[in-house]
Amino acid sequence: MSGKPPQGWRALVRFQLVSPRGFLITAATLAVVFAVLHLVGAREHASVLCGQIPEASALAVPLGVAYVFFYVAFALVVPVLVLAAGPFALLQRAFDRARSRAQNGTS
Amino acid sequence: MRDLFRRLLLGSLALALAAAVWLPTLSLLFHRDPVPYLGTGEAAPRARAMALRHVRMWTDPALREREIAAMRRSNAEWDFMGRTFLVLGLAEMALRDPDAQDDHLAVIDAILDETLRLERKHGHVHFLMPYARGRPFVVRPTRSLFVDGEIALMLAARRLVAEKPPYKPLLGERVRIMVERMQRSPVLCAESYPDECWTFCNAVALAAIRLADVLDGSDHAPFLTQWVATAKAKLVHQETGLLVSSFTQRGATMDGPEGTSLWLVAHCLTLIDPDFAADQYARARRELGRHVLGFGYSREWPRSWRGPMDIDSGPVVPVLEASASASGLAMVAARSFGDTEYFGALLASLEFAGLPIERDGARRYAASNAVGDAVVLYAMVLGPLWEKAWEGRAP
Repeated sequence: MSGKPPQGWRALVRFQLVSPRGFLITAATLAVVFAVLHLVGAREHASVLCGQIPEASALAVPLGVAYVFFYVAFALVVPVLVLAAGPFALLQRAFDRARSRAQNGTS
Repeated sequence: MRDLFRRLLLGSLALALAAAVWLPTLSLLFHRDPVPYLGTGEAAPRARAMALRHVRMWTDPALREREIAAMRRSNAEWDFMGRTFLVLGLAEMALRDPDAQDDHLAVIDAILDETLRLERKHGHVHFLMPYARGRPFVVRPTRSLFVDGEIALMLAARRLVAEKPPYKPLLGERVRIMVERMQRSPVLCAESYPDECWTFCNAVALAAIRLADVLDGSDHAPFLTQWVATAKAKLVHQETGLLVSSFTQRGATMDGPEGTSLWLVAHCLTLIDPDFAADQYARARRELGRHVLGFGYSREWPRSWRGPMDIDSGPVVPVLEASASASGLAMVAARSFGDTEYFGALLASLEFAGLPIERDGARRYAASNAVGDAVVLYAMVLGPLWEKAWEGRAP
């Protein structure tokens, strides 16, 4: 068994994550996790933000913390990732075009 | 490797562009027309929805037990302060909407009677944090101005809306005890905890004393004037000119200025010395009031002094140094001083970070608790009670 991460995972981390598609996939993942937390009622336990320990249930604190984390991600990170995907693709295309023109010029 | 580096570079550039577009826009989504929150005459719809959440709590014993247990698990003070701010809020609403006065007074009386019962049964320590039992108070017998001041303020607020004869001697006696204990300190302040005085509690007590003067024709003006003069001389933080938060019974500073104290202190002091109160508000606004990307918040500490993060400050957001507790109380002060720009920015933060929940017509903030919601309710409706006191009008 090799100590290296699987090939697919490495590819995702190294290339797919930092790509327009990767941005959209990350945004969608964050949004889905937030939606799931919202649907299971984790918002009820968000009083951790003010220092009040939520209900005595063992799951309340982690659910509250996770909800706050993914809410912030949903409000701040998801829209930025979605908005960035377009310009990222355009920048890449422009960069690729410029590079191939440069290569054609030198060959 | 070069490809990864190129992607990182272009991706960062795209992210920076997107952030530059999105982040300044975000606050626009949460900025609200203040009218549904504040109203002009009677309490605004949002305030009524928030009050409904508390009224249900005080008319449903099971719900009340659950909410109070949740607060007391973290801090017994919250249970008590939640009562105070709710009584103040309901008193303001009763003055704003005379048709609903009887309903509001019924809840106020239920809260007062239950609070007085608990005080009789368990003593002041019932509403204090455990360290109140750690050592004796300097001034004996054991009494906390935190409890005396807020009960006195609740009694006075109730009586300013409509007289209730059994509460008159209760207020008079409490005022007498508070003044007597405050006068035993060189800084005219009584303890909330053993050898620990809080500006917050003393300012609340001063407001109650002032309201009692209006109600019962007593005259503590010389004492109130002397208190302000003493505070200016001995309780002001040199670098900021702000009142410190806590000090020993002899007046040695323990905690410097804190948002969780100062905003309410400024609000209460408007009844005692409006110029000093306005000066404290202006300084607090400069030292603690902040805006970022259109959202308003309050720091807990000024740059020149930093205290420990504790149950009062609540979790403080790193870098911004934002405190949810201080920001909630800043809403009270901003409303009190007519600072609509700051109030609006704080409201945007509340709607963004407070995580509102509306159910069956009642509104609460999931990121807050019953005391935080009561503070926000009070901020939305305050006005008529203090106006009555300024005009010297007993009911």
